[in-house]
Amino acid sequence: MDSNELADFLTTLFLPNQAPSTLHLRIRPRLYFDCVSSTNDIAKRIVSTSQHSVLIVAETQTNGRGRGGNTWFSTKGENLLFSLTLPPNIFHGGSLQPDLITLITGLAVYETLIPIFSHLPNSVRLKWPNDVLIHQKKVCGILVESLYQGNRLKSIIIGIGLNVNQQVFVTDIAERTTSLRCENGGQSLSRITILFDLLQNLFKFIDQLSHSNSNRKEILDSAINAMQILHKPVNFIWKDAHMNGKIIGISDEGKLCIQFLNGNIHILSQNEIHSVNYFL
Amino acid sequence: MNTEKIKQLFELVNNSDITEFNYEEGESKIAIKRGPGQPTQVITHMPASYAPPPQPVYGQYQTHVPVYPASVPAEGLTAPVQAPAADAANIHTVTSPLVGTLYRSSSPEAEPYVKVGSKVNKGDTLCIVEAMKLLNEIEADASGEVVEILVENANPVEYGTPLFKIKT
Repeated sequence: MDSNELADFLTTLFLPNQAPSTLHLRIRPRLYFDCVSSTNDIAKRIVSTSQHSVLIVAETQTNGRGRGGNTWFSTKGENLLFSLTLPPNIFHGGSLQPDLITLITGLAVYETLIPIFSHLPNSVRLKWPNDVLIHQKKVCGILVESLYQGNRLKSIIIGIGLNVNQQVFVTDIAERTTSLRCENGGQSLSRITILFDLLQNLFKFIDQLSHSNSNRKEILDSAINAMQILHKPVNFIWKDAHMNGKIIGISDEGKLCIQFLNGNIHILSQNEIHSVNYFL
Repeated sequence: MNTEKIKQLFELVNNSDITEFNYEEGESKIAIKRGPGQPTQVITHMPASYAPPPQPVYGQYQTHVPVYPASVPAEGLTAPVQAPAADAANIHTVTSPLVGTLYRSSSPEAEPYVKVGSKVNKGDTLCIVEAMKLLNEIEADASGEVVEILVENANPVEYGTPLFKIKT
């Protein structure tokens, strides 16, 4: 796999052995960079007035980041680092809300990886709200950002860093980080096939939600299944206190529904609680 | 009818000698009553279409899960309040477009995007409101000087919460 193959693929967004796709019509332009600060930074500068999504792919980032200023490391040319912008009109009419984008992005990554690891059942997991783990190690970073000017939504940016073929990790993250190749017996994988499948899955969920209200339950049920979350004992930190309870579901907005030991039920969002642990 | 409008009506009545006031807009009705020397009372009627949507829960125990309505504290409206001085015409208030947690900088170590006295141009980032791991950058929709910051870092905000005042 070399870089040019990825760049060539972006010019067509077409794979000969795959089902016909409309990706090439929906995503344009597609931008390929050798090195950027972060693909989300580039995406923010592109204020799209069109109906299309814009895709920005880079071989390496000097300032790859996650939430709260966390850094995302990635070896040049081995992984997938990209951002996809969604035009705001995608949120008109259906039940697709910006706050569900993080959840469906995690689910899209999860569904992309499942066939690759079909020989290792239960190795791939989605951890609420959107961490994708293989053998309990993190393989993917997702950073979804949106831009509002006052109250007007200008753009949504989905940033994904997926470790594909990287084999060496810096010591302090090596224990909890992995790549597809590391978990696939050292066999390298095609970045373009994974990118193609992932984009297809993302648009599948976006279309399901934006065209109909009834699909929301189906998608949330898929997320619950992928997370294997129901009835699991959970502990977490809420308002500076260690709490214990049982997970009983996910709300319509993707929030975690927890029954505390005293029977009370709370619906908690990701920014209200942290250090969430449940048995995977 | 949104909370802001109800507040405006409330202030209008509170600053006048009116003791009873009814207002209708579409299917929304609001009645404000006040006896002499009594605190103002507000009774609102919102059609179902204005109610916050219920939150179904997907999972086995969905019927047991209570529905939490969007929090519009009723006490805040019924208590006698001192109406804030009206803003001058050249003051623009930036409100939150969504429910979440407000962050004034891009990371805990970083400098705030803006401080009181900062000059901003339309399109400059003012803050981030995070909701369900979605980081929403709120840009200024007017150019001018930040004269007031109304929400502190890491505090929750509701839809429509005033965040910044910009002197244009």
